Amino acid sequence: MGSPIKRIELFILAIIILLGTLLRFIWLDKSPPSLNWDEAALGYNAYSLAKTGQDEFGVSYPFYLRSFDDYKPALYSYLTVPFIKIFGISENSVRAPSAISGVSVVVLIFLLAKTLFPSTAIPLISAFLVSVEPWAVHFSRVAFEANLGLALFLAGVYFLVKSHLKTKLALLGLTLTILSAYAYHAGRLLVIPALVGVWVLNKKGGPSRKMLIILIITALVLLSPLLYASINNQETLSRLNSTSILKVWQGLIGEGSSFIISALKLIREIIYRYLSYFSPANLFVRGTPEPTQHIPLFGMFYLVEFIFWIIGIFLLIKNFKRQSLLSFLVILSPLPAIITWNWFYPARVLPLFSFFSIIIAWGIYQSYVILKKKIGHQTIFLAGCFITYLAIQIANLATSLLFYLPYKERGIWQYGMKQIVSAIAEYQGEYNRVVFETRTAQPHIFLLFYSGYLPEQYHQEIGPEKNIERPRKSLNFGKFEFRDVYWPKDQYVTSTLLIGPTSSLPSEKIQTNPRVILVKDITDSEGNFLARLVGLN
Amino acid sequence: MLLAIIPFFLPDERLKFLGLFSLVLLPFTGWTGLIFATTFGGLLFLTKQGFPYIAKQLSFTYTKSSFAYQTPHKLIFGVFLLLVLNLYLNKEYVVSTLNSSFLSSLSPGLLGAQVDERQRIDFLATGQTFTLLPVIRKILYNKPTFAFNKTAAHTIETFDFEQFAYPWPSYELIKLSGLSPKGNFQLGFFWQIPLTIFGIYLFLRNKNLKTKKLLIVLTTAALAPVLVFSKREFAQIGFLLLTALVLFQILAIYKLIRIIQEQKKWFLFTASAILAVFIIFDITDYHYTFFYKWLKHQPSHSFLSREIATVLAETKTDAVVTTRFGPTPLMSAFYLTWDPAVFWPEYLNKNETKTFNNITFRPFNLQEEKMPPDTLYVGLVGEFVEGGRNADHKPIPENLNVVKIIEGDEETVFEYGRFLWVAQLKE
Repeated sequence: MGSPIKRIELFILAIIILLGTLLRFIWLDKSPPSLNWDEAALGYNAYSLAKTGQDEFGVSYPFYLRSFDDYKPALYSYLTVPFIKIFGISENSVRAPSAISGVSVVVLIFLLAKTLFPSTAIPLISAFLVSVEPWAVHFSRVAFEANLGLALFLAGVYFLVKSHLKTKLALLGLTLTILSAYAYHAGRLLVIPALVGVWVLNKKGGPSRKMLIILIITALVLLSPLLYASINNQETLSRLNSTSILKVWQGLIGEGSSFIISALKLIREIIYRYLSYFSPANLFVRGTPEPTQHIPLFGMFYLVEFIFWIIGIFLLIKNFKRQSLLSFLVILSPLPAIITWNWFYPARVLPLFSFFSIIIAWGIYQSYVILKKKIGHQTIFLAGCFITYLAIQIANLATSLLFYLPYKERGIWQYGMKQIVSAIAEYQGEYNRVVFETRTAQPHIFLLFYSGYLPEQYHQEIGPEKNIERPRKSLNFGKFEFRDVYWPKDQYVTSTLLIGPTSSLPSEKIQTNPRVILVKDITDSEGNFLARLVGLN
Repeated sequence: MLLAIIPFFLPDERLKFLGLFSLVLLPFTGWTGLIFATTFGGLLFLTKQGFPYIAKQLSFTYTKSSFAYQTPHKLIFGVFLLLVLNLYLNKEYVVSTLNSSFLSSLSPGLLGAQVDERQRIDFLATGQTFTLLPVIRKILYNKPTFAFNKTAAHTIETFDFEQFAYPWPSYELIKLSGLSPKGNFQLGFFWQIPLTIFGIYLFLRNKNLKTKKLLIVLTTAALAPVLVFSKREFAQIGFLLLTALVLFQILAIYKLIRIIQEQKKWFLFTASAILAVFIIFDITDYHYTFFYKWLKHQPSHSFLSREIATVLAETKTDAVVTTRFGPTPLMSAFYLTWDPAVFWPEYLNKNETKTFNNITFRPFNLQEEKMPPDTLYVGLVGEFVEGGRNADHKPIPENLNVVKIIEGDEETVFEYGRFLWVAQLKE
């Protein structure tokens, strides 16, 4: 059973895990208030894989999901399959792998901090922070592949460090680290430098020659499918082009600067982006412009952590050599984000945030030790104030995520699709065609997901994947059409259910035509208009 | 301000009187000066310390003399008396500034409204079916916590790398703080950020610093205005901070040069040379943009006002000039050096329309009002034709003779277009 200290440590860790689990799983389906289209796509692909072993397009056991021509890594969907098999196709099933990853991250940060620091307190504080910090909770409540990638990456690094690259654990670590690249695009850029770094910075000597060869061969074997799929599929490269900082480069060249000046400006742009991941204003206050990664009323971290982050960074600089691995990981982690054109994109730097949590924990612990030495018992009073304030902030985060976000930020989360789809399901049987008007919201995937449309039937209706144009232009399948509703023309169609806004389906036009029935106006619980269903016999 | 600070870092005792004298004058230069002088003087008074070490390090004098500067307390007290007098004499100014400052957002009334709003949202979010227990709501949502959070967020937001060094490229981010890069100039270069951090690190690590307190006092005093000003005034707040940051940067550069000299490694020399080239490029590029593409840095309204004055200087006919985007009469009076005795009485009257000889200043809408011939109209595109998203590219009406188009960089009035038209009715 271990020593009493060990038992207390485990007990505290268990409470931390419980707290982290509660924050991640309570009302998982209600907050965020709806699946966004990426989540719906991951869910439907998982459903399709569960039913047929093929993705949404009928491709068998893919590495990438074509989805909206953005070629998502398929691992998240594979891991969603068991939940769909057990609980059916639902928001909870889709978000469960991310929520479980989030809880795993709490444990992994504890273990990693334990290998980095001899103190018992720092790993526990790190785990506690990760269990309650805004970024960690938010990213665990949404089906983000990045969160799964983070869990795999941390697990990989932990086993690699723990094994000193000498035992079979190293193979496990290597496999998990490489798997993180299969979970999230950005992870691919982190894997090899991280592996090399852990090897170089290994304090207890490197692996034996035999072990090294085994590790290299294993790495090559594990990475080769990824490389093959990337090279073999031009579209995955096109995704890289669409997100990479080369877009900025094209802009610079377009301005008419010479090649050298443009190159210097590009380097500067990359450094700007790198620094933005260390900018306190971004980390603690304003967050990100990315709508689904924005945490309402909070930055990525709590305000009160700022001072300890500063202290932690100072400690890291001071102990740069002694904490060479942590220093290396902190410096390395923004890499996948800085070579894209986006500004402050948290999903790409979750490993950095997790290392920041360790640094903050270090700052808290060291502050406590120094203060205790200087002001004695008064430290307990200060610690009490800090804990009370932090507890209020955690409760505030919980109410913000459970109440504020679903109410105030519904628009960001494509709220209403579920309600619209259930209304369509109710009335579609009476019509031969269903025309769904929308310009941006990828309605087909919500229709597939929320109606649980049979994948076999869908595959048959859209035909073989290779015959579907790239980028995909038509989203139609079965009796469903996705296009703008044009009343002067559409008023003459027969046996059709039209779904759209009132601007396309105005009341005065509907009332004057005896063939037209206003089937339903769909509203949310507050009476806000979502969509209109109009039937033409 | 520099005259107030530098003497305290120098060994000569007599110069400190110059510092104190400057400190007395500083509050009369404006709000930032007042807050800085109060905090700096106050902290000097409290710490009763001189700080010879930094002076020695930075001035590279390495004098062996050790001295402990004793603050002339009576003089500092005198500074305070003058400050109080200054505040008393400018009561109205003090009140009006405080009303538009960050401090006004901490008023109990405003905080109370925010607390209520938050609880209302929670209630509505549950479909008006559930509310937390009153005691829990009181703990979670209360004015002191809200005030603390706002102050903490406001203070931390000052440490804004994007706003400091690259507001234009990061506009997507800084607009979340409600800022525009226009008029909020970058205060430094990106490479100064790591340099400052390294300098602060060196400063904190150095246990022999007898002058530590002076730099801490200086940094605290430079940060003090943060609590008063809103983020909109970032340029002013940051400008003060520069005085402290530069000292840290000098410390970092000094240390880096020593490392390079001691290590004598080729790659350090190479890396430094590459870095130096990059820094020179960055500085040159900034100044090129600043002087040759200055409209990018400056809000367009001041440029447009100056151009209006140029047009009016050459106008012999009657003219109607818009006031929709700013005080064009005042700007014209400045550029055309109108007689103040004539200008001010007319300018300060309460009428919306101001007339000076043949020039009338007022907003107009030529789609609704009839345009008399022989009158020159100067206004935003949206005042001549229907505004909207592409107002600038709307066709010029056939009966209109657009004499000149002045191109601004951004819309000064929403959907009125970037351009200014100088136009007359066709004969």
